[in-house]
Amino acid sequence: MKGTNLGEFEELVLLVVGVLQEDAYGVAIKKELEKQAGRSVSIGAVHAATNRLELKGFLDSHFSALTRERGGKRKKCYRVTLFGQQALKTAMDTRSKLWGLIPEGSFIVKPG
Amino acid sequence: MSQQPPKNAQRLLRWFCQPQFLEEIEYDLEELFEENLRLHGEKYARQQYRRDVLRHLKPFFLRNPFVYQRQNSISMWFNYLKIALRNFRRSKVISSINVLGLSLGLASCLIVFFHVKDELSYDQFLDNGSQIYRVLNIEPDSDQPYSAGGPIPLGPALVQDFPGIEKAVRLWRDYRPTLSLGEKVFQESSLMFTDQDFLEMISFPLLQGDPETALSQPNTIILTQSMATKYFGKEDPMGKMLQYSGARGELIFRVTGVMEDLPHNTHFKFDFLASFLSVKSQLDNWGSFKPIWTYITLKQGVIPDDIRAGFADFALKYVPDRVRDHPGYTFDMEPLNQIYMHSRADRNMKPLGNMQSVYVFAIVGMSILLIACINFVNLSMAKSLSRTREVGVRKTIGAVRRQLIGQFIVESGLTVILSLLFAVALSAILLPVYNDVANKAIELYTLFDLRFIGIALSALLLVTLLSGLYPALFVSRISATDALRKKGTGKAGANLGMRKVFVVIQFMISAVLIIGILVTREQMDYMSVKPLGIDKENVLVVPNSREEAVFFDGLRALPEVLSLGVSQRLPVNTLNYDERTFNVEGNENAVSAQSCVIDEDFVETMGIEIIAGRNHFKGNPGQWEFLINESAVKNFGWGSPENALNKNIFYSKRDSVIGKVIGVFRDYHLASLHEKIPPMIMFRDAYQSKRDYQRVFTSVKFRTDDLPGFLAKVEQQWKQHNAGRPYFSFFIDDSYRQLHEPDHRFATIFDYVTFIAVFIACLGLLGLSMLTIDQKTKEIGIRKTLGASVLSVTTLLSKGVVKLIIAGLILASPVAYYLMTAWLNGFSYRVELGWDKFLLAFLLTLLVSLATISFQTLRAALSNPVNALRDE
Repeated sequence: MKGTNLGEFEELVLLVVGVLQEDAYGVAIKKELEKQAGRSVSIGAVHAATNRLELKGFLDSHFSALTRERGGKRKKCYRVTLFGQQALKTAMDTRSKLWGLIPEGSFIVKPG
Repeated sequence: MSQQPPKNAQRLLRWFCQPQFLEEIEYDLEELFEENLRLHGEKYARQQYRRDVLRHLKPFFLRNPFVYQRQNSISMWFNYLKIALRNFRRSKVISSINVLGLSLGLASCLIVFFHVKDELSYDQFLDNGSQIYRVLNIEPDSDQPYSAGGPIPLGPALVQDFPGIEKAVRLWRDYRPTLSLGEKVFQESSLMFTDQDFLEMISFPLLQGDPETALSQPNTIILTQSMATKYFGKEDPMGKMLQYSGARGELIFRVTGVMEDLPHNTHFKFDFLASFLSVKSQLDNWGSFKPIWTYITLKQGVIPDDIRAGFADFALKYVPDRVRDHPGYTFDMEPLNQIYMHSRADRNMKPLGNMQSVYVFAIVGMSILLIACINFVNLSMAKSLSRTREVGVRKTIGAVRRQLIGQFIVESGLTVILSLLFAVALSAILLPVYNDVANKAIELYTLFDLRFIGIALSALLLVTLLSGLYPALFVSRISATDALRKKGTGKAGANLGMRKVFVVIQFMISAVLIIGILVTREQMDYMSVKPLGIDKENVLVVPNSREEAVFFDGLRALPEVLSLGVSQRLPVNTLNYDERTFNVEGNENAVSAQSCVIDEDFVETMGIEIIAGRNHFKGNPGQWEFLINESAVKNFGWGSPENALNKNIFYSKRDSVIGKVIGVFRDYHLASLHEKIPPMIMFRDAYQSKRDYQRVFTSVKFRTDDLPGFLAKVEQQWKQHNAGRPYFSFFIDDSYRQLHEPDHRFATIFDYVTFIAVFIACLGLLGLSMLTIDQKTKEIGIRKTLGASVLSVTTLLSKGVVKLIIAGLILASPVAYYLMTAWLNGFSYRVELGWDKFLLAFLLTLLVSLATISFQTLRAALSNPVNALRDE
């Protein structure tokens, strides 16, 4: 599996999956992302990201129970793995550390 | 919800997307679609669905064929290439035979392609070639019914009588006029008088001058570029004057245009175009069928058959005598752009081609390629036997049949590509040879156009498939277990039959060609030794001279000169035809014959044999006496030569030229051996009228050891009397040879072709015998240990091949017989097609092929059996 580092979009998707808990599937992720990040996201991009994250081991997935809707198709729901959680934490820690290293008073904007 | 997402987008998604992603994507897309449907309506929802599908078009989702499988198979193809190259290196001799044979075959095909392309290009560059027609006349009762020459006033009369004809132009070739510019004097052979619309109708571009007005005045002339250079050098010829002296009297032409030299691929042949308005006499002479060609265009909407329908009445109106003498006499027309390939008419500006020869060439080229392909197939199949193990291993590892076929096709493709490259280089080298032999001027750079590349690529594909597919199918059929247990060889026996058929075909083609060579050679020999009725050796021809008597005395004083004679025409030549129609005693209908004015010594100089009567013209000046040939005796209905003597001939009642036959001479050839000897009549000009020097030749029979010295003496004598006139000289035997130039050319091309074909066939035989012997090494070893002699082993190895060759020869006989009979029928005087040629060809083919394999068989037969049996 190539690289375990997270891209910016991937990190967002991973976080959103965490936010959504049980109901983290494509359309829901897309909508939550649009709501929280305030930008338009294509469903294709979401699918590519979730499947890639799954390949990398940051997400795992299960199909929902069979319903009558949509010709018997099932939706694919994601959950953040432990490995994914660690990756998110690493990413956040790196950022906090870097924020901490910025000399006091050089930024007008403050973290937090 | 009744509305569904767009089907086509769904299909697209299912097509490109890997199945494991499909369900998720489809579910989500559908949910979005439903939501959009609710919020924004159907149109927007469908649009959005499509857009979303396209957004999934990322490498990540794509199915195998697009991504993974390709990488895999590319490496396989590289492996095939590598194996092919290894095989190539391992069996150098066989591979070289393949490449050599194929490149020779392909090169021959390329040359044939060049030839055919050139033949078909004649006149195609002219605008409206299909709407311009050349007028012919037809004499149904004649040997050669179609003739392109017409009466002088034909063109204007056609325009006048047929409202459907828009325009007519004439080209009248002037007979050997002299043009001069101060000191520069030349006798020209291709000066045409033509109507002013000629360039408007037929789109030869002018380099200088206005095509519409250049010939609108009398005494104007257009020159080709090379003629302009010949007379004017680097000066601008426009407006300059040229002095003309010839059949139309003395004229002065003003140069009003310069045109490019005519390309070689046109049926037109002229160096000068002079305005028809310069011609003052003969304009309404319907009786003379001189070398005058008439071209017409039709008005919009008129079809040729409309015009043709009126030709019979037209002929009856203008040339009633002709129609009476030749029942059914009429005119016809043919499109300009079809003249070169399809015209049946004689009297053309230069020799035409024909479709038949194009077919012959194409078939011959294809046959050579076929022989080469057969080599390739046979050798590949024989060689593939040694590769059964490889096939077995590949199959065990998991190669499917398709892949194996692919592999073998790649190998053949490689050989064919290599051969094609060689072939292109080879044809570039051979093109000058071809140009020389075929008397063409095809330039290399004109050949490499798109069409050529197309042909080359399709040849590549075709030959690869033809010669690669069969061995590939055959090898890949062997099952893996058989192949590994070395049982493949047993199966190979099944297709030995096919290989035999191929060898038979090869030798059939070779034998047909060899018989062809023998027959053409014999005909050529026959033509050079056939008694022509004259003694063509050592006869020099020069133009007639002023102060004839003095000139003759001067010549006779030369020790080399045996005799000299004057004549209006020459044997074995095409310089001028003069067919006359007149009446003879005891024959109600008019007869026609070639006529020729001669002097007392002509018969002796040419060595013409008198078989009845006398040669000497006695009688007083003013009395007419005729010599006729054997054909004339027969044609005039006079029975025997003796019987013909003293019969009356009414040559021209108007001029009271009436006289008696005083002698009959043996038929001699006026033209090539393709043509029958026509009835002929020779006579002395009783009035000794002033001889037009351009139309009368002096022939000199000589014997000398110093030819250049003698020629110089004659020329010097002539020039003393003829200041300001052009001099020329030629030998009768040379002009005879020129007459048969096309035949010699054909024979030479045939030699080359046959040589190449037989060479390739023998190459194949060599390769095949090598492989067979290779596979039989053990057998030979065992036989020898058991006491077989060298002879018996050699016989064993050659027997099979000899049988095949004999089968090929037998099949070749009827084909060769049919083809060569057709070729010989083109000659009125020809050799018989005897069985001895066939026998000789058989022996030759057998000998050559035995010689080819003997080296291999003998080596095998002489080899020490220990070497053969050692490795086990």
